[in-house]
Amino acid sequence: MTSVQSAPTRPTVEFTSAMEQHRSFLLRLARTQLDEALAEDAVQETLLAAWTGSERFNGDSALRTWLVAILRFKIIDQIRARQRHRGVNHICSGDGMDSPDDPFEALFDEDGRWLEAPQDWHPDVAEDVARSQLVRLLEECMKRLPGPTSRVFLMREYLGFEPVEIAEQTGLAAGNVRVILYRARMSLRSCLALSVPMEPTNVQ
Amino acid sequence: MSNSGGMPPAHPSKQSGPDVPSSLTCRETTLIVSAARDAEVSGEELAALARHLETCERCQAARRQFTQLFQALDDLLARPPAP
Repeated sequence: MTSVQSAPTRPTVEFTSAMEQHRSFLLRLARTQLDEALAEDAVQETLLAAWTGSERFNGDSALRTWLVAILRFKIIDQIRARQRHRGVNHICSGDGMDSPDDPFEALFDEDGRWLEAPQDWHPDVAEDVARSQLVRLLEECMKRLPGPTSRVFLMREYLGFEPVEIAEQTGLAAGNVRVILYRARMSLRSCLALSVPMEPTNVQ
Repeated sequence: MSNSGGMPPAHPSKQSGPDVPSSLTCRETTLIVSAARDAEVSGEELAALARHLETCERCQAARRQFTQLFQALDDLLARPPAP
């Protein structure tokens, strides 16, 4: 993440440039919830709000964290407006949500026991470095989630909607929302397990 | 859309408190860990999870993975701390 300690009352060129570096990540988040035009608008409004309110950025958090938090409210505003104007927006099916097969069955034996022992993700580096490395890898892994899964997952994990509200917003059954959230987390765990340097383990 | 997906409920053998199974499978523990991210799970489920974790090193490692995954999600998405 870009290191920006604080912003003066009037944003500097450096501050504006640092904000722009996060535009693509913000757009990826917004596109999971909104169509292209609205996503662009939400991100533009986020950057504008950050630019005009830069004096409120005190540097305690990373600039991206601050922008992501601002964008959260812009997206929620758009979703609420969409619901007011168009009624419940039903999510498309597909994405294997209706598949009778659980793609994670293969991780377990017939008794429900892990076939392969999960291994600790403890690269031989300092904890804060390992944590930031994990965040970078997670960002990559999240790109691989199918679109509808990503939308539901981020409604929960990013926007903070309760599962019942996700069901109302998407037209999915509440049980399907739980399935999608479970599968997304299992997918991300599996993706990270393939990406993160492992610590030798004696787990049986 | 029906609740399909071939996935069992988070607590397949549980109907109410006293019926929570005393032992869980590894797979069932992943369902509970995911469900706990979205809502409070029952004390019986937590107790069953704790009993399983006491003796299952694989699930201990998986639990640590999920904890790190959730921390990374909180970092990446600037998720506000839980109340």
